[in-house]
Amino acid sequence: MTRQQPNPFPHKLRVRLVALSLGIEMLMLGLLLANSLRLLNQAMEEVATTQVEEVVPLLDASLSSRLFEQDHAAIMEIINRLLNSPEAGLAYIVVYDSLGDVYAKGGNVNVQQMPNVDMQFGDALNDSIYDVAAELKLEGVPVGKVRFGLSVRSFLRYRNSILNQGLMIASGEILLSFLLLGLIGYFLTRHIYELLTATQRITSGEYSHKIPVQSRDEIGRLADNFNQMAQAVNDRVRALRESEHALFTEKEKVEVTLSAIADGVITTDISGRVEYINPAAENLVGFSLEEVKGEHIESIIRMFDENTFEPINNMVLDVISSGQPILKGDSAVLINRYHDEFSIEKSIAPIFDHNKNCIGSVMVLHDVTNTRQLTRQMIFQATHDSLTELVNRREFEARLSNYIDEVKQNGRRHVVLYLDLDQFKIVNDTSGHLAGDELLRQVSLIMKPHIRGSDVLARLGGDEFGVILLDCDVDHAIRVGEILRKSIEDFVFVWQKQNYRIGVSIGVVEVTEDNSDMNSVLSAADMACYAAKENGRNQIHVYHFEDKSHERKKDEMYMSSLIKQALEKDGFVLHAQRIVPIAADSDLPEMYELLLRMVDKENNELIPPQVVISSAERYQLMPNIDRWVVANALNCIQTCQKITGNEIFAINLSGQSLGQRDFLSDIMDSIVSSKINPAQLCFEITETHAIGNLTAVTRFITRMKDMGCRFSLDDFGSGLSSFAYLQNLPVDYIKIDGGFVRRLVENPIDRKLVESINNIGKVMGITTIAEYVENEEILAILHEIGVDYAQGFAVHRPSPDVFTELVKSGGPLGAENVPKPENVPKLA
Amino acid sequence: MADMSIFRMRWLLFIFILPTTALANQPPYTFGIFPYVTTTQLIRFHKPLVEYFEASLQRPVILITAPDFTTFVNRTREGEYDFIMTAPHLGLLAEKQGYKRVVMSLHTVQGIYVVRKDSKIMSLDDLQGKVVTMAAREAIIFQTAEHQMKQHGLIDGKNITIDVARTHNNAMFAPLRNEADVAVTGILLWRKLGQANKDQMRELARTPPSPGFLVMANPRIPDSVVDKLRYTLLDFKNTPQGENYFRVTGLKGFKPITDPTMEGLEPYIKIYNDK
Repeated sequence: MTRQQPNPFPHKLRVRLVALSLGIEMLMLGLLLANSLRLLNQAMEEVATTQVEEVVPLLDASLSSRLFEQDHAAIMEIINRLLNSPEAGLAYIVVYDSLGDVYAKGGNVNVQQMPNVDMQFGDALNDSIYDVAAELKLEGVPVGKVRFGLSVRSFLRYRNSILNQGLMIASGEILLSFLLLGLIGYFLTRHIYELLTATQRITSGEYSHKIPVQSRDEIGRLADNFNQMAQAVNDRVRALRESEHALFTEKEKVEVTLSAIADGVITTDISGRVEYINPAAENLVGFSLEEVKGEHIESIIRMFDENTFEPINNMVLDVISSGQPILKGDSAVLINRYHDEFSIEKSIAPIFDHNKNCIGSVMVLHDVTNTRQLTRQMIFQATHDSLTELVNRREFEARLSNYIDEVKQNGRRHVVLYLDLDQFKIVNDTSGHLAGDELLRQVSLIMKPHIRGSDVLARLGGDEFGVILLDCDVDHAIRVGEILRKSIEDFVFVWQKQNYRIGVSIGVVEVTEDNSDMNSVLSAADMACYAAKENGRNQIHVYHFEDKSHERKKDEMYMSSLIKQALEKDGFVLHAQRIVPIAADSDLPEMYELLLRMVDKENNELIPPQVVISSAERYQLMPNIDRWVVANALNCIQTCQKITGNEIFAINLSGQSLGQRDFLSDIMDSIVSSKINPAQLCFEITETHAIGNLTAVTRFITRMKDMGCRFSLDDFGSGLSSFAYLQNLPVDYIKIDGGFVRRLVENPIDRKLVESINNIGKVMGITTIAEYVENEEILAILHEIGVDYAQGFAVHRPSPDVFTELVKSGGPLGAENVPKPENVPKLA
Repeated sequence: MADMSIFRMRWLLFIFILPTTALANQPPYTFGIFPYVTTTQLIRFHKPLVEYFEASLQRPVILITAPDFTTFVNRTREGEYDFIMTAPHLGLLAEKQGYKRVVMSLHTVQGIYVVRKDSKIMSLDDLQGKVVTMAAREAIIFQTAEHQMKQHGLIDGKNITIDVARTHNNAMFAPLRNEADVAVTGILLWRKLGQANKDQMRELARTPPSPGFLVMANPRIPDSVVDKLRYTLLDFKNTPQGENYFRVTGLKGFKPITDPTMEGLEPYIKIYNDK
């Protein structure tokens, strides 16, 4: 940028007016003076010339004769008189004779260095002497020559005097003109400066300022017009500011919005050059707004098809040319300048001006990288088992269904393997779930190498696995199954310095066109696996549809559907069985075990409980059943008006329920809602379930006991480590396993075991209950041993009607109250 | 004026210098003429003679004069002039100083007494007590007139008063200006006087005639030059310029200077001898 040179001429109208006028005046005065000087010089020259012309004849007349006479004295007298005469104005006179020699001279002149003759008057101005030469003649005959100097000083003085006077007059005139022009300029431009001041104030933003010019001349009218214009400008500026404020607010909102939103927004002009990108877009493309502004959008965004990874057009120019938006484009992968990849969904819309002309586009880039990753993760989680990362049951079934369809359509043949680990429960029960989980992971790793990538290996639940061998016949499937079986058989699982060996039972089912659906295939595979287990475990069984051994398994599956219906349609009933204190003088409260029964409504009979429980446990229905039991038990107790408040009601809980996260809170809420004294409630847990879920069970018991509930450890003595775990389980009762009690009379070992269990209970302050008390002899021995309670047909048979009656009768169990034995085992 | 001077100088060169370019290589001769008339008349009368001189001698000639007779006599004596044309007695005087004879004019010098026309003076005898104006006591006319008046018993300072004018011309106008009763002037001037003035005056008497003007050469002029000059001057009258010259000047011609002529002038140089 070049520096602006200061203008030596002020930008003021009055100054310019005065300066211009003075300039013209000075120019004219200068010309006048110059002309005067010229005229003066001319006049002076004429005067001098005239004087010379007058002097020369005089000199000629006066000197020529004297020179002719050689009258030197007379000549000198003439010379002196002339030089002394102011009117003559002569500075010197030199007379030459006819030979050219100086004959006489006078005045201040050096005859040896005579000045040159001035050819014109102007030459005389150098020394103020007009040097003239003239012949002296008599009757036309030269008699000599005279040189004389005519002093022009007087002329010059006169001229200079006139010139000085002229200069003084001119100066006075200029000064007067300056004053007058200044005054005129001031009065003429005063209003203009007011206008100027007003325009400056208006320019600086004081649009409401009015020009205070009241004159009626052109300036006044101009001021009026200017005021009107300023008012109009003020109105428009105000409107513009309001619009600007609104626009700014909107812009701020838009910018804040664009900055705040997570989607990348890029706007382009009509040629596809970037005009704006928001911070989210900057993060996506890796360029800042300053870097990409004006760049073509193709140069900053590279997109690829998410599936094929082929480059794809970003479609901006297509949208601009067509004017049609792409509201949601195909999913694409964006690779930015740092080679980071983003999964995006882009939308592009044209931008129109008020004339509907397309002026650019806006592209919205929705980063779906996390969503897609999450989706993939969720899909993976939804389709895979979290423990083994194998395909889960749902995905396995979905794929199997698809393959079944393919078989039907294309005649392909696939084979399904159903694997169930043998002795897994032992590991789980003895070393805990962590060991079981680890065993399952390692078994998965053992099996994976033997399964093709195109095949499907899935964990179907618990210790069950499924395999789909594609385009495979049964023989090959058997070979694969054998490899799997052998691998697992050879596998030694080490956990906390203990070695475990397990086996696997494998059911094989060929998927053919005859298999109608996925359920039938899975059912067949399950049944084949079940058959393999029943045949002695750790072997392979191929399912044949004509094989009758699979009927029972089919019954379990049928039963599970009946259970679900019973839960939905109230197909269960509660029976109660008294647990009676054995000692006659016992002050122990009465106890009642509530037993679940499912009604076969078609045949109007009760379904055996072991059938219901087997199916319910296999199909994970026990938590729902337990919830039903607790809810209905609480309801019965609450509605029973005869309850004294000393009775204790025992409710069985399955191991599956104890493992559910929400079960504890649900039960506690139900108890609180029922307002039943928790001390009247006793929950029975089998020893096997307690040991298998020791941590969860301990937590459950502790929380419930804090509430006031009681706990009973059922089937105590059936496990190998019962006594060891008893210290860790804060139970109130132990129910001695019926297997010992049933043989108490004839087997002394069982008696000793019962005595030991009872003694341990006494030592630990735990009340003992003997179940399966089927006769009086057993009851007598139990009395003798000192067991606290007795339960069994010898005491009371479970009955749906007895619950109310028993409560009504109250008191210790007496013989008269013992109902007829019912050949139905209790639930749990 | 300067232009005019240049123009004049160029004209003079054309008239005088160019024809005499051949003469320019030698220094000019000075030709002094005794101031018997005004300088203007001298120049005008004798310009043709000077030109003839130059042509004859093949050298430039400068014509000069003197303010009065005395000065002219002194300058002649001092040898300022190479050639002189002078009154006859002054010629004799110059010869006595070494000047060489060249020629003499054919006319004779004769004084004339004039008075105002209404003057009561009718003869020389009426001049007693009158004022007589004459020019230049050294002039031959003065001396012849003084001598004549003495013969009539008129003595300056005694019974007449002689007033000396600067020139014969001035003396001639003295009666008209009432400065004198009688004026004595040269007869040549009287003849040249304008008729209007002449009508106001009348001739009273004349002096005896005396020889005309003598042309003499300075002693430093070689005789050959003098002889050559004399030869050519004697032939001057035969030229148109000479004819006109003698008609205008009234000198009538030149003739050689003879001894009797010179001897007859002896009385008139007494005045110089007395000084």
